[in-house]
Amino acid sequence: MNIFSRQKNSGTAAIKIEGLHKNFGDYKALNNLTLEVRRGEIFGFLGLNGAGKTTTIKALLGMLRPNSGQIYMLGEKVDAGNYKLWDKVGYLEEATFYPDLTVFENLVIARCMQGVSDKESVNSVISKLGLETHKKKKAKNLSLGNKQRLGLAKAMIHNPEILILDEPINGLDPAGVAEIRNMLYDLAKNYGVTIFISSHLLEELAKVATRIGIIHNGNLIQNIEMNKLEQSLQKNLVLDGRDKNAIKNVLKAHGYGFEETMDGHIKLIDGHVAEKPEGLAELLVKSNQPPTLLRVITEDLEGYFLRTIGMGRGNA
Amino acid sequence: MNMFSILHCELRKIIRANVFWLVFLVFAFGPIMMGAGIILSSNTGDLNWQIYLTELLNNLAALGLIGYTFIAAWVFGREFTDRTIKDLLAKPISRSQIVMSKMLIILVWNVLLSMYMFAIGLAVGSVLGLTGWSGDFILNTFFRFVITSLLFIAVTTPGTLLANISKGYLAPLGLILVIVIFSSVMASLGFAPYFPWTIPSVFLSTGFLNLNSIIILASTGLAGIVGTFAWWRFAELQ
Repeated sequence: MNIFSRQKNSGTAAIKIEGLHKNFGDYKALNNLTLEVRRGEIFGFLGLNGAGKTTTIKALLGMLRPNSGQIYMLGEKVDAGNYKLWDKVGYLEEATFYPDLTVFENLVIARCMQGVSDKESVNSVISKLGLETHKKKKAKNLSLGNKQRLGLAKAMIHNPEILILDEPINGLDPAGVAEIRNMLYDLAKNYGVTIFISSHLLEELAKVATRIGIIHNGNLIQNIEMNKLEQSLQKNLVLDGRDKNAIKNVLKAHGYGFEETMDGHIKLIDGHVAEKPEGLAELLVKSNQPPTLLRVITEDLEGYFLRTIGMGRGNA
Repeated sequence: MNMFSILHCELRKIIRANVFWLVFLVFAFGPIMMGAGIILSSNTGDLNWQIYLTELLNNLAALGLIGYTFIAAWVFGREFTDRTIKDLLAKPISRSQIVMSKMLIILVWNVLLSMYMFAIGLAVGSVLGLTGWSGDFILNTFFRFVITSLLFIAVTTPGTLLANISKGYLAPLGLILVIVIFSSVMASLGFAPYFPWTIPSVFLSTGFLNLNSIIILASTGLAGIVGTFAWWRFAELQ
C-alpha cells in the first residue's frame, strides 16, 4: 500500500460527484446527483432497485459518460482516457470471471491486468477471502457466495485506495456477510481505504457504513452520518387502555392525531408527544382513562428509509 | 504495464478456453472431408499433388473465412457473453493496448489455424498416396495460402467491430455466413476483384492483386480496426 501517495493527496475528497445527469433516452437515470465521500469513510449508498445506484457506479468507473456533471476520484477527473487512475481503485460491479479458468488463474489475470508485480498477492488475497479450498476449482463451478468472494478478491488484489462495491454481499451466507463486513471495516479503519458500497439492504449497510446516502429517482435525497442517524429516526408514542374508545375521545378532544396499529394499540402521529410521554399519561389519568400501555417506539431503519423516499411499508 | 504482460493474459485466457481446442478439432474436418472427397472422387487417374492442392485450397478459402471471422469475433465477443468486459474497462492499462493485444492474439491464432488446415490437407494427400510430390511446389503453395489467409484475416476486422457493437459473437458469425453466400454471387458476376471478401481468393488463384483490389481490401480492414479502437475508446457499457 502506497502510504506516501495517500498522504500526499489526503486533502482532497476520495470521491466527488458534482451535478451528475445521465439520461437513457427520455428516462432520467441520474438527476443532478451531487455527493462527496471523504477518505477512509465507508459510504453506504442506498436506494431501491432502479434508483440510480448502478448507473452511478458505472459513471464512477468511467463505463458511462454523464450527460453533464463531473466526477473526481482522489482529485483526478474520471474519464475513459485517464486509465492510470484505476491503479488506485478496485471495484466489484458484478461478480464476473472467466468460467473455464480456475480461481487461481482468474486472479493471476486480475493481477496482471492491475499491473501488480508481486506474484504472492494472488495467494495473499485468496487467503484473505477464504478461497484456499477452491483455488484449483474452475470459476464456473463455484457457489454463488464463492463467486462473490472471487469478485471481491479481484477488486482487492492491488490494495486499492478506493473500493467501489455494488451489492457485494449478494449470495453470501450470514457467516460470509459478517466476515466481509469485518474485512471492509478493517480496511477502512486500519488501512485508510475509502469504501463506496451500494446496497438496497439498509440493515446490512447500517452495520458497516460510517455515512449513508439515499438515492431516489436519480437524486441524493439524504446524506447522513451513521452516528447522527439515531436522532433522525422518528419516535412515536404507543398506548392502550381498558376503554379504547374513551381514550380516543380524550385524544380527539385535546387535538391529538392518532392511528391504530396493526396489533390494536393507539399510535400518536405527532412525534413530539414521544418527547414528553408523562404529559399524556397525566391527561389520561385525569380523564379517568389511565393507560395500561405507554411506550415510546423508535422507527426501524427500513421505516426510516421508506419514509425518506416517501413510501409507506405497504406500497414499497 | 508492458504489452507483453497483457498479451500473456490474453494468451492464457484463450488457451484455457474450450473454444480454442474445439476450433482446431472442428476445422480439421474441413480439409479431411474435402481432401478425401477430391481424391476419392477422382477417377481420371492423373490426380497429383498440384491438382489436389489447388482444388483443396480453393475449397478451403470459404471455410477459412468463416473460421477466421469466428475467432476474431469470439476473442472480443466472449468478453461480453462472459460479462468480463467490465473487468477490462477500468484497469490501469489504456484500452487501446487491450484492443491491440487482442488483435495480435487473433492474428496468431488465425495464422496457426490456416497452417493447421494446410498441414491436415497435406496429411490427407500423403495418407491417400498422391503422387508427384515437389518440395518447391508445396513450399510455394504454402506461402501463397498463408498470404491468402492473411488477406482473409485482414477483412475479419469488421467482424470484430460488429462483435463489440452487438456485444457478442453470434451477429458477426451470422454476417459472415451471408457474406460467404454473397461472395459466390459476386464472383460469378465477375466482381471478385472488387468485393473485399473475395479479393483474397483472387490472390490465391492468380498470385497477384491489382491496386484497386489492394485499396478496397486495405480500406475494409482498416475501417474495422479503426472502428474497433474507437468503440473501445468511446462506447458506453449500460
